[in-house]
Amino acid sequence: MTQMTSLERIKRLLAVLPWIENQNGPYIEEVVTRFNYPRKELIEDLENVVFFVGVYPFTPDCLIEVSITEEKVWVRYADWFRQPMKLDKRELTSLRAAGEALIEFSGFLKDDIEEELGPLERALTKLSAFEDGSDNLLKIKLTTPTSHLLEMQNSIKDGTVIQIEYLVGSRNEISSRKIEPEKIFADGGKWYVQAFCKLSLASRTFRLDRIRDIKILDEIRETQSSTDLMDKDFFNLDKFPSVIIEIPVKDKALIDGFPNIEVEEISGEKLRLFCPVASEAWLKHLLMVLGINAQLVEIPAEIEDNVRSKAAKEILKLYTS
Amino acid sequence: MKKIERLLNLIAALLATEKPLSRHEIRKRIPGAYADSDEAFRRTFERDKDDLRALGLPLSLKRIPGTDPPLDGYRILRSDYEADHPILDAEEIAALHLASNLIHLTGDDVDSPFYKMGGVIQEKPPSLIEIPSETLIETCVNAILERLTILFSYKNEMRKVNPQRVVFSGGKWYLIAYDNGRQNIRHFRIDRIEGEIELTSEKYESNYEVSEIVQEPPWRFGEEEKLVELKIDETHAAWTLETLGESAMYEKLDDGSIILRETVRDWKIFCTFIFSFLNAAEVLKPPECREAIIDWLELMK
Repeated sequence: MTQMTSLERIKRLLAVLPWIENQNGPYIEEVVTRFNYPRKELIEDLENVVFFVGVYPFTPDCLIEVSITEEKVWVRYADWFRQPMKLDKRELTSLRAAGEALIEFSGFLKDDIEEELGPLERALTKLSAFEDGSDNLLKIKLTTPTSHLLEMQNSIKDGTVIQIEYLVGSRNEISSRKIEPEKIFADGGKWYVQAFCKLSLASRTFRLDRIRDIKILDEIRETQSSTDLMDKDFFNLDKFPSVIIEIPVKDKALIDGFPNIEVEEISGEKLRLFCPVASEAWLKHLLMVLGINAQLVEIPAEIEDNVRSKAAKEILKLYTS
Repeated sequence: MKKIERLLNLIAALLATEKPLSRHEIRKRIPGAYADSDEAFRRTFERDKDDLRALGLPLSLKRIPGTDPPLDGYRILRSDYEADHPILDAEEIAALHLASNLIHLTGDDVDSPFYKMGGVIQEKPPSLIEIPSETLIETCVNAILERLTILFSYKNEMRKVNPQRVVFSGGKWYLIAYDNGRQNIRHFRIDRIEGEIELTSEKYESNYEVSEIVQEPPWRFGEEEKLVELKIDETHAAWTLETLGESAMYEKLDDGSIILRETVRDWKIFCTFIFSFLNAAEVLKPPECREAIIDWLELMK
């Protein structure tokens, strides 16, 4: 656990004190868990800080009384802190947006959270009654889940190994591989699963909409399912060779669908694009979209320099045969 | 006196007082908290005020009654400070906690509101989706909370709008706002806002009827309508159907490939979609579209 700053500790204490006072001697462990307050710091703050907090003239009747036994804690006479702080508007907004998004989305996740929906709806009704005028100001619509989302979720939960038939976009072919899913996430309107891939013996990211078939295997995982395994490599495009292309400024709209391209304006008429190339297929696609006015300025050695013409010929075959 | 102890005493004093307290009154009421030197005291007290505001404490500055010459003083009104939201039961808090952990904005402190509700005893579920957030989105949300008119440049034009709602949909952030120049509700893609958003000091009054963001492929919006027939290889069939919807299905061929019909109103954008398949998609009809593709490819080869 990271060290709390003094402001974080104050904020936490302002919530902890009224709660303890209302509980009539709760277990210290419970306070630690509920408020994610490290035990050592909690005791230190209660005994050496809160104990001296009060109001003028700081006579015993004007001080907070804290008593700590081996396991339990009491706070008395903390009149000024008898209630926790209000939820601010920003907090209410986030809570409601998350709750509403989950309810809207829940049809797809039923197994996991169905039993939570009743209370969630009740909570949202209570919060909306409290809030005035800022109804729905933040709305989160989750990407429509694909058919395999639930199976992936279950695999993470149950720690199973699964076999997938996966469409490799860059080669246009189906490959069969065993994976150990670790994390599901959505990005740019698509769902991904990050998993340990037993074919490449490394953590890989798969697009859920490219998984054609799933089979749950009766095998023990090699990896521990853990958030520590988070592999940001997927978004780290530095490791890919970069191609530099120049296009006329008027064609700027063409690169709209390619979020990873870095753009630099080199003159009033020309844009220079820095494109990390993860697969040849992707580069071909990009070049086809950019058209004849796009100029390949720099390509790494591993990519053929006639890649555009090659791609055009391949597609053209469909139309001429 | 430690900083944390000083601040807690300061908060207690400001909550306990019946009337606003002047700076010097505060120094007197918390002996040992501040330095004797006026200058050092002033500096520390200014920092403390900033800290209280950073904590979200509703510090008010009001005229102290009966002072002549008039003097301003500080206090925290209990009614501004104390929780008055409806009491949620443990089950409701747990459900809300689950939702907030599953779905939250990058950078949001998910736990902070729950401490105010008495904390939560439950394991944190792994985050299902972390919604990417950034300064512009925060600015929009804050502008709505404060009901402030904002200014920004969009499509090379300065817009003055009254923000109504911020929506995350299809992986993108949108701002729905009343455009004062065009005098109607507009949807703006936040990632296309050029430069910064400027908060004005103008408050807007009315709420407007807000229309929903509809997620459809971009080539379905435009002027000239064409019904395009295309053939997709088996390997891409399932994915394409999911993207276009089952209603696009026209015929399934023996080799597993499919023929789809799609209404296209922006041919140029649709071409970028077709080329993403490389040689796994072929435009069959209408003839002029087929020819346009061939011409394009002839130039490129």
